[in-house]
Amino acid sequence: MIYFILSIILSFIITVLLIVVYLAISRAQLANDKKNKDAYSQAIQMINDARMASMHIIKDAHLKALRTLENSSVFNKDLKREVETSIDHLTNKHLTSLDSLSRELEESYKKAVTEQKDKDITTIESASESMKSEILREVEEFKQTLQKETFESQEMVEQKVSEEYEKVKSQIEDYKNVEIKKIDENMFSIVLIASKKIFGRTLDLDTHEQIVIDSLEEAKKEGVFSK
Amino acid sequence: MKLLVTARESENILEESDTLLRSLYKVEDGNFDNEYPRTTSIKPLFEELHVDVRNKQQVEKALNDIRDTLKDSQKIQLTVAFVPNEKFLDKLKIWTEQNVGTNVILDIRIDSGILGGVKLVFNGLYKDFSLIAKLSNYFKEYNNVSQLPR
Repeated sequence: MIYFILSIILSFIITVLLIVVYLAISRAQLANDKKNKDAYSQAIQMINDARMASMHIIKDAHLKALRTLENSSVFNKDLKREVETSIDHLTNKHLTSLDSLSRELEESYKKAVTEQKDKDITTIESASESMKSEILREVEEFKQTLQKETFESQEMVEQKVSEEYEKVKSQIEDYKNVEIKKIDENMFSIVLIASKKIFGRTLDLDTHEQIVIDSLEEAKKEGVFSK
Repeated sequence: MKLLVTARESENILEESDTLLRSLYKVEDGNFDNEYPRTTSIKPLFEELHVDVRNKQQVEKALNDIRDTLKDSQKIQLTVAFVPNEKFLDKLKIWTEQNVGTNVILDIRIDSGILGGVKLVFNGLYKDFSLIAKLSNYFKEYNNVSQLPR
């Protein structure tokens, strides 16, 4: 009966330890590489600690069982051997379970690391593609901006040159008109002076008189003398 | 009464008529008989008008008629480039009588600067038919020398 109770207590303790280890492993799998490694180490340590604890518990339980059995009236060597054999069997069984758990944990960790590595490589490749696309896009934008600004600068320079050209052209035109006007006025003055001199000397009296009569006729045609 | 004279003739007529009107009732020096023969404008007019100079009333009336006619005459101011002779003045009077009227005073002025032709003022209207004006207008039609006809 006591043996049965001790077995249950021991199984319960080991189960609790396994749950704790499982939770640690689960937590470790969800963490990043460094955390995974730390968790793995911690889990291994916890398994080892659990193994040691279980060994002590089994040992203590074994000793307590033996003491109890020795004090019992029903105790005999066969029963003691049977208990010892059972305890050894139980101990070996748990040790095997812990080893198995440890191996599974290691396998899981390796698998997780491999998956994480593949995932990281994919992520890095994806990030690399992303960065490449982003850099190319920014280079293209920069190129377009540069082209646009260069074009705008060129247009501004062309516009400025055009404005200056028109300004100078206008100034030259104004200057030309002023100078031509001066020449015209001088020419007209010269022609008028020449005309005065020529007419004053060459028009005879008959011609003068005829021009006056012609002028009066012209005035009459224009209705100057109409009442 | 037809009276077509130059401005100078008009002034002379008015001056002589004043003298004669004042002399009509004088009996000593400066009386009509002394003044009348000296006139250069009235005497030809009186002969043309057949005025009896011995009839003082007729003379007075004729003088006043002449003055009134001159006062009511139209005046044409003509500026020419030369000094017109009598022959040309007569020609002008004939043209004026035929084209304007009989009672006209021709105010002839001289300005050689107009080169030729005439500038005239009539009934407050000024017209320039001088050669200098025509030359100026001719050049004004062109904006510059290069546009002048060749």
